[in-house]
Amino acid sequence: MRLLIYCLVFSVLFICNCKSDDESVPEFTFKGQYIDVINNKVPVGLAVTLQATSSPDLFTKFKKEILGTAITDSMGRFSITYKKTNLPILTLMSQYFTHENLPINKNIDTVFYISNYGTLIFVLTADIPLKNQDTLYLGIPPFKLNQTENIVKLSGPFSPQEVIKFRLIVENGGIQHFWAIGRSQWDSVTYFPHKYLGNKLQISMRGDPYVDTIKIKYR
Amino acid sequence: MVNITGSSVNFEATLIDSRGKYINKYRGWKSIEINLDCLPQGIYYFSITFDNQEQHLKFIKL
Repeated sequence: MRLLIYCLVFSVLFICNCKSDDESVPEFTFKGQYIDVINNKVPVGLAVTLQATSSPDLFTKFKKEILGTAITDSMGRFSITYKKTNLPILTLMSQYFTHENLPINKNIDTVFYISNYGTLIFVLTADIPLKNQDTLYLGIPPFKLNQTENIVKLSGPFSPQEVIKFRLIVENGGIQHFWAIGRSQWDSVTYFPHKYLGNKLQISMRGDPYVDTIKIKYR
Repeated sequence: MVNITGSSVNFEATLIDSRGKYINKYRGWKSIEINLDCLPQGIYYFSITFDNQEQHLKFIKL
């Protein structure tokens, strides 16, 4: 009888101390609100999905994990709580919008403005840092002859992994960027592929991304 | 509705929320009329550029 009581007590203690894996994993909440400033309204009843994916790498198998879904309320708000994920890329998707590279495994509360104004974060990665006398030009089409308003001029020095942030008015959809280093001025006539010094960059803007990143590697 | 009246030159106004997040950009000639009914109550800022000068206008939507 005494043995039976001991077994019973130990069993109860074991069950109490044994947490499931799900309970020990930290949770994060992603709150957001959509406001359409172009049409002056908030999207109501919009289904949104939060997903995590692996890095786009040709050598590893692509992984995708749906973290949660929600419907926007009368104020365009939504909230999704998810468990910590080991996948690095967080994306918020809906029928009309996609926001990529969102902060992952963090509590977020932000507004997504559906506007004609997009955010770009340019990440400069360098084998050799830009020198004082170097200048980096970024050209954002459409170009016109002798027009400089679509040219962004960034003067050195830049250290490796320098992050430069600035915002541009961009049309939804794909846009191309051209860049050059070390020229005294941008020649809007000779930006064509056989003349420009840098690589052509292709990015895509959708709505008002929380973060949209361009990586520029130069030597 | 917000009406921004400028001089006889074209100018642009950038709308920014209280967290510093850019909302939209508007361009106009002499004046810009902007409907902000969809925005919630709070503090907003306009960054207005004309004649290559930038000025900031704070407003509160009640």
